[in-house]
Amino acid sequence: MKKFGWLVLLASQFAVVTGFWAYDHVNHPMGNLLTGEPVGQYLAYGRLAGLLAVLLILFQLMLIGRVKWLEQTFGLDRMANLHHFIGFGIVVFLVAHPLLVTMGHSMQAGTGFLDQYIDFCRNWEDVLAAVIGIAIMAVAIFFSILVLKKWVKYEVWYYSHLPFYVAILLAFGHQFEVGSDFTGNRYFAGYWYAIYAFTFANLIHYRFLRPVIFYLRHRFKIEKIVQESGDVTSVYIEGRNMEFFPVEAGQFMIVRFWTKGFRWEAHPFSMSFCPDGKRIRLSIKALGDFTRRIPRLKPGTPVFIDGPHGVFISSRCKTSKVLLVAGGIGITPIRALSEEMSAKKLDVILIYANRNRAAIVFEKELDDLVKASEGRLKVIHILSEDPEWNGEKGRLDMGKIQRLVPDFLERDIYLCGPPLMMKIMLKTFAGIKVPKSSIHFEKFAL
Amino acid sequence: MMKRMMVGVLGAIVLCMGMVCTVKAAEEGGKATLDNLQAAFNGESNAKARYEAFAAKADEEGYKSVASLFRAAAKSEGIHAIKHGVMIKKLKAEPKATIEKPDIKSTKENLEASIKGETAEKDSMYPAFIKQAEADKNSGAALTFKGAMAAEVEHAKLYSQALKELDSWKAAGKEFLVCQICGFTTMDMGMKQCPVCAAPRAKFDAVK
Repeated sequence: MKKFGWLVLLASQFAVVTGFWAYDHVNHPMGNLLTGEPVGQYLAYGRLAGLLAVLLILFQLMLIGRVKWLEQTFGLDRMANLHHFIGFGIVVFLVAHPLLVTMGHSMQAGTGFLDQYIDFCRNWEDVLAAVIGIAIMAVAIFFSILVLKKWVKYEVWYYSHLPFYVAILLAFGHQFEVGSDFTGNRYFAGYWYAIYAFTFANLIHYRFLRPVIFYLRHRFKIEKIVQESGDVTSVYIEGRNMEFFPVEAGQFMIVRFWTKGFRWEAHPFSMSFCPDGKRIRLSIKALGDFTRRIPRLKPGTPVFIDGPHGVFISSRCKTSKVLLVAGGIGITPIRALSEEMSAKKLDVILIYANRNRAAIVFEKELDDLVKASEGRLKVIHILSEDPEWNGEKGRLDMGKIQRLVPDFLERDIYLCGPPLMMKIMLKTFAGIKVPKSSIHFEKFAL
Repeated sequence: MMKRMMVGVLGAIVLCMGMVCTVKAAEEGGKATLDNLQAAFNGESNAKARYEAFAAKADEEGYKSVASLFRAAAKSEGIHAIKHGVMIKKLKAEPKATIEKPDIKSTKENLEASIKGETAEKDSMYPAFIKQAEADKNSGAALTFKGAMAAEVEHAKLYSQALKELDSWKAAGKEFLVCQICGFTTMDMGMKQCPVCAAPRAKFDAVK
């Protein structure tokens, strides 16, 4: 219901903008531009493209702004996915706006397209800044394609995206100086200022101020670095008044280690044990340049934490029985959840898939949790490439789940693992009509 | 993803080009519209000459601000005449005007005559011309008629205001802005953008 409410609120913004635009163009001094001469339609639809481009860009900032009240409803991973999707759609509006408006004005003034474009840049207030702004946006979107294709590193994309904020500010002025929707309608202008202010207030608070406030409040620093099995390293982070740090098992945080070689990158990692009010633990697998350097971190290193984020939490569970499914390093939030859920006296079965025994992370910890759970937690390891293993062998599939957890349809299901495993499992569960509301998962890559 | 984005961008460009072709196609002629354009060209050219003469008379009688208004309106009518002329040339004809000697009376009477003229243009002449241009599918002519009509509405308002406050319009000091693109005329010096054609402030001429 809450989700529906937010969606209605969002859709209403598009309705408000389109409504203002339609009112202004229907009641134009030249008559109804929407049904009049094509030149008028040109200008009208060019302006609508510009309005929708800005509205979508502001929406994009809300999606990626780590806005807590939105995230708690939709989940940060889904918001990030939507952000990626909309980002490419905006291109169409960003192209259509200058193209249509230039064509409309060139016809109206009886000049050529290029002459009109040059006139815009030279004589129309703040239009040149907007043109530069759109160019910056185009470069940022281009780098997003390259990173999707894996042609450039994530960091290159990240830093190519930062000038987007400058581009938004560059394009701001021309909207009020030469945007006829606003110069001729103070109510629309007021609304436009308000949505900018609302978006930037949320962005600045949640994206930039909140991590600094948390740092100043808790002074996070590395307590110790512990090598787990295989290529997984656990980073223990301590701080002041940790009992007031609002973190839940299953959540993740975007972490920036403030030391040479690390400070310019921030990455998302999950907590791997249930918060105890004293410290948090992040368990990180060496998968890339950054994560391979994690064991080099030293105790005492300051840590900036953006988060915690995510709704992969036990309070989302609607039944007293739970099936946790983890694959590989996906065990980190699952390990924390299993601890919390068994402490909450839920009936928990954890299926943990790996290639071989050496790849199992937290094997002993999981054994200890089972012993302490008084039968409420059961852990089943499945290994796909370990001939010496006497337990469950092969890949995790529906047949195994049905055999090992016959009552799985009565359970809330929490999934975390490699993308391929997630895809297969989600497809399988959807195929046998497991209710969507019973399946909990998050994709942690932002 | 790259392909999808390219398709989107190309789609936007094709849509825009399609709209250009629609506009070009819509600029086809119409004999009646050509006659109307010639009539409008003649009317605007005469109005320009008449208002210039009225401005000189107002100056002579000491109505400095009224003189400024007539000069601004004359400039505006000149812009309309040019725009009508461009459309006439697009229909492969030559714009023709017979400038008649203006009937100059007192400034008060000149204002009254001007209100009558502007009202006739905005209420009868241009609406009929627009209707004909739309029937002839000549969007360019319809656009230039609409632009002129929107300006005439303002002219009538300004003349009425001047007539009502004639004594206070004796002193110099009133300034007017005239849009170079469509001829829209206003006393609002804080105006950022033309409400008719959306031209920016830089495209306005100040007339004193």
